Amino acid sequence: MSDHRLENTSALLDNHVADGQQLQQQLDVLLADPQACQSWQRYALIGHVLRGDAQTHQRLDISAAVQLQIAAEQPLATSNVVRPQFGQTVARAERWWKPLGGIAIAASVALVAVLSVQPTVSPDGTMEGGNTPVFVTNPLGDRNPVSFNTVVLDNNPSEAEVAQQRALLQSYMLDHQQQLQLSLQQQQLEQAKAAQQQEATINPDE
Amino acid sequence: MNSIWRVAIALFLALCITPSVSAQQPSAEQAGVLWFDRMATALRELNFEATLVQVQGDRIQPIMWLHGRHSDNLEVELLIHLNGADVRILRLGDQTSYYFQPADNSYSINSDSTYGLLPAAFYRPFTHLNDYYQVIAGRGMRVTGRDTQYLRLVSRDNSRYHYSLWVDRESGMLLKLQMLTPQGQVLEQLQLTSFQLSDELPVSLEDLQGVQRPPRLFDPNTAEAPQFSLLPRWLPSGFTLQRQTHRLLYATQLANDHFLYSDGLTEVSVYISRKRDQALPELAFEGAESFYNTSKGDYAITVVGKLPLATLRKIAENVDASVPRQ
Repeated sequence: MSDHRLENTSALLDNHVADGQQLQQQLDVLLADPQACQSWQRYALIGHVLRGDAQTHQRLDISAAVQLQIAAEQPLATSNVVRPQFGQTVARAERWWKPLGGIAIAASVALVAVLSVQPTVSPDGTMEGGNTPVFVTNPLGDRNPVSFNTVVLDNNPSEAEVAQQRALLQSYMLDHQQQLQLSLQQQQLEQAKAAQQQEATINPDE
Repeated sequence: MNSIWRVAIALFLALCITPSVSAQQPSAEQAGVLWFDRMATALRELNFEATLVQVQGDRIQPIMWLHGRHSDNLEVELLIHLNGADVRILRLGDQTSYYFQPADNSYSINSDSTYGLLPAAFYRPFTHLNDYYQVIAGRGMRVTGRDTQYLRLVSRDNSRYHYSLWVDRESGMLLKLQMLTPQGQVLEQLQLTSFQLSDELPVSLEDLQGVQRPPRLFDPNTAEAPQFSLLPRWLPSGFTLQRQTHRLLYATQLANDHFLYSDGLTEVSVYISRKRDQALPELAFEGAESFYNTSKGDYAITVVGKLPLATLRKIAENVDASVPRQ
């Protein structure tokens, strides 16, 4: 749309057309042009918003509809509700696991970890390079949230302790991985031995 | 006469149909076993070049995965980690080597399944798992651009992690895997992003027989029997003792009694050490590898394994005084 027509639309909206005949003519042009009609609508809306008479605070009240829907639906059978097995609420369960989850995963990436992590643990068991996130030691405790909180407050481990604990945790993970591989190897060797024995009994001459 | 014939035919039909109807009941499971076995064969027999993404929590590792068989039937498998440290796993038959760069602490083990990507049980027929797990076939979807068969591998007593598998309908190849808690939370995922099957061994696997192999990982010869008077008294059904030793924990000087159990798919370690030597508070987390640490009397009890936390906790709580041997 040309600027001229936009101008005309704007002028019409603001009632700035003095000449009656011209007004009539421009109105006819405007009504014949759907694009100009749309601009009119937009200008009018802009004007309303600027003057503050537009209804901007309209709320969608869907609560009634939601209530109706809920009422219509079958109540949830208790067996359908997924409950965490451990801890009383999902929120608390997550609070327990989440901070340590990252470490668990880091440590359980078995192959990378088994040996490539080794050099970062110095012989005295402390971890070198402090860029790994500090792990929060959330104690397990009972299901009683009060005692759960007190333990946290009373047992604030120092940084060195945390580092040592982290190294120990890591070494448990790595040890487990290593034992799995050794166990696989043992099974393999036993299998081979059994196969050999079988062969020997079939061909005792060899 | 006519009506007698009709009755006879109806009876005959009824007899024919009834067994097929009753056979339909376990068919999802039977189909599941067939597909699982097909996958196990495919993992051993196919020549393929694939790339995949392994996701554990917020860690993502892209991996190149090549597999094939030489004309003399020797199996070759090569895995290359594409992010971070250069880790390569090469398996020729039953010799698996792990190469780590730049820290050169590579080693080999004697194993005919490549530990680290898939459970070793996935390379073997389902009969090994049948007592404690069941596998159910479901409707597959499109994965890696191919039509798949969906398999759900669940433990019969719901005390272990579950697996969802998507297997290629054409080749039986595993294209996607999820490991989930019994509540359905995804802990680990594998997703193939490209998969090329070929009739011949992939070219890059042809010359690997001459590659230098790193030293073998050995068990120390001086295996000691457990020394502390505690023993795990309960494990989920199917877990059998694989090894029990008294030794020092990896990379630390912590003296431990160690017990390793396996049910064929999942393994769990129970560590028992003196509480005054072990400075870990009571803690626990659930993940791809769960961890539970607690104490009993003068001893710290630590359980590690790919199991839900509730199961680890039960194992740890049931560690008890060993009955004196006669």
